[in-house]
Amino acid sequence: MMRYIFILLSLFFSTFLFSQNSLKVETEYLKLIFIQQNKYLAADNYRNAELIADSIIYNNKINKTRASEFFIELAKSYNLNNDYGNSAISILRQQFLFADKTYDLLAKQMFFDACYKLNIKKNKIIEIYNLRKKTTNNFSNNMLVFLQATIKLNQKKLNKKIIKYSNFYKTISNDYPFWLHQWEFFNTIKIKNKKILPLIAFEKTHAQKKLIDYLSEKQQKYVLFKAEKYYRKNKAINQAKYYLQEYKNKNLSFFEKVKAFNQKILILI
Amino acid sequence: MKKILIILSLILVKSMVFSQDIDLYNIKKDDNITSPKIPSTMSFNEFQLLSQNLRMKDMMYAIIVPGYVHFKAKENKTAYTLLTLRTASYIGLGASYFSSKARGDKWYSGLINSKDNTNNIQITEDWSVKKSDVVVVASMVTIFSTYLYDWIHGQYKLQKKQNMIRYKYGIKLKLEQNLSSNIKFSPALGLSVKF
Repeated sequence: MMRYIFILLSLFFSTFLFSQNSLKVETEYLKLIFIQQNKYLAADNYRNAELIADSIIYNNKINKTRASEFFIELAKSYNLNNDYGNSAISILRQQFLFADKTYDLLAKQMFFDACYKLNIKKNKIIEIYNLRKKTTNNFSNNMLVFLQATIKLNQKKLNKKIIKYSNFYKTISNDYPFWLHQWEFFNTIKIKNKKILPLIAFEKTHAQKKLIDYLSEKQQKYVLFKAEKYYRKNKAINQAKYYLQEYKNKNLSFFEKVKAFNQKILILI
Repeated sequence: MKKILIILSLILVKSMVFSQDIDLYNIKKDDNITSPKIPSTMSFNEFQLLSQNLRMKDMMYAIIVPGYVHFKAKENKTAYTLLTLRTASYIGLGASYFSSKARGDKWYSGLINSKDNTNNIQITEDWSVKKSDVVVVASMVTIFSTYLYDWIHGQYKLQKKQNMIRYKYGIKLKLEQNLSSNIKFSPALGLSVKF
C-alpha cells in the first residue's frame, strides 16, 4: 500500500514540477535558438512562446525576474525575423506588467530600436514609453496602461493580440474606459489602422455620450458609413439600417446622398 | 502511342504491387485507435505534419494531383502555384491536340525542313517548327518539371518541418527533465484555512 501511495505522490509532484518549469524551459529554449541565430526555429516557436506568455499574464503571480527574462528573450527572438511589432509588444508586456529594474536599460534600448524600425517618431515613442509611469501595484490598472500603450503603437499586426488582452482585461476589471470601447468598435468595423488613432479620445470619459460624439462631422460620417458597411456585410441588417439612418441624419452633400441611396439598395438586396 | 501507354500502365501496376504500401500480411493491430503521446503544447498542424510519411504511392498520387506533396507539407502557396501551372499545361496540351485533330494534322511534327511556311516559327534558314509544337513541348516540360519540383522540393520541405518539430519538442523535453532533476526539496509544513 505504501508503495502505491509513494508512486502516486511522485507522479503528482513530477507533473507539478513540469508545469512550474515550463516558463524556465521556454526561456532556455529561446536562448538556445537565439544563439544559433536560426530564423526558422525562432518562427516555428512563436506559437509555443505566446502560449507561455499568455499563461504568465493570466496567472500574473509569477516571479517578475523570470517573467522579464522570458519576455526579453521573446523580443530578441522576434527581432531575428524582423518582426519589430511583436518585439515591441513583448517589451511592453515586460515593462508594464512585470517590471523589473534589472532589465530596464536593455528593455528601453530594445523598445526604442524596435519602434524606430516600425517608423514611429521619437516623441511618440517617448510618449508610449513614459506611460509606464502610470503603472502601480494594481495588475488590472497596469493591464489597462499596457493596452493603451499597445494601441498607441498602432500596428495592424498587433490588433488580434490587443483584442485578446482587452478581453482578458474585462475578466479582471469592471472599469471599461471610453477610449478602449472606441478602439474596439473602430477595430470591429474595420477602420484602417492609419485612421483609427486620430479618432480615439484618450482623455475623454463616457459621460452619457456616444462613441462618435467627440468626433468632427466628417469623421462621424466616415465611421457611420464604415459601420453600416460592416454590419450589412455580416447580415446584421437591423444594425446596418440603424447606422444608415444615423448617416442620413447628418448634413450630407449630393455625392454622399447618392452613396446613402446606394447603401440602402444594397441593404434591400 | 498505344505502346507507350501500355508500358506506362505496366510500370504503374508493377510499382503498386512491389511498393511498401501493399499489405501482403494480415493487420493484427489497429493503429487508428492507439493514442499517440503528444506534448501538451503541440498544435494539430504540427501533429499532422509529424504524422506524414512520403511513400511510393504518394509519388504516384503526385502524378495525378498537381502539388500533392506540397499540400501534404502544408505549403499551400507553392502547391496552388504548381496546381495552376500543371492545369495550364494540361489545357495547352489538350488545345494543341484538338486543334491538330481539327486540321487533320499530326499532333506533333517536330522540326520541319521548309523555308516558306509563314505559320511556323523559323529557327534557321532551313528549319522551322509549328506553333502548336512549341505549346506541346512547353506543356510537357512544365508537367514534368512541376512534378519533379513537387516531389523533390516538397519532400525537402516536409522533412525540414518535421525536423524542426522534433528538435523543438525533443529539446524542451530534455530541458524539462534537466530542470526537474536540479530542484532540491526542502521539508516544509503549511496550514491554510478557507471560508
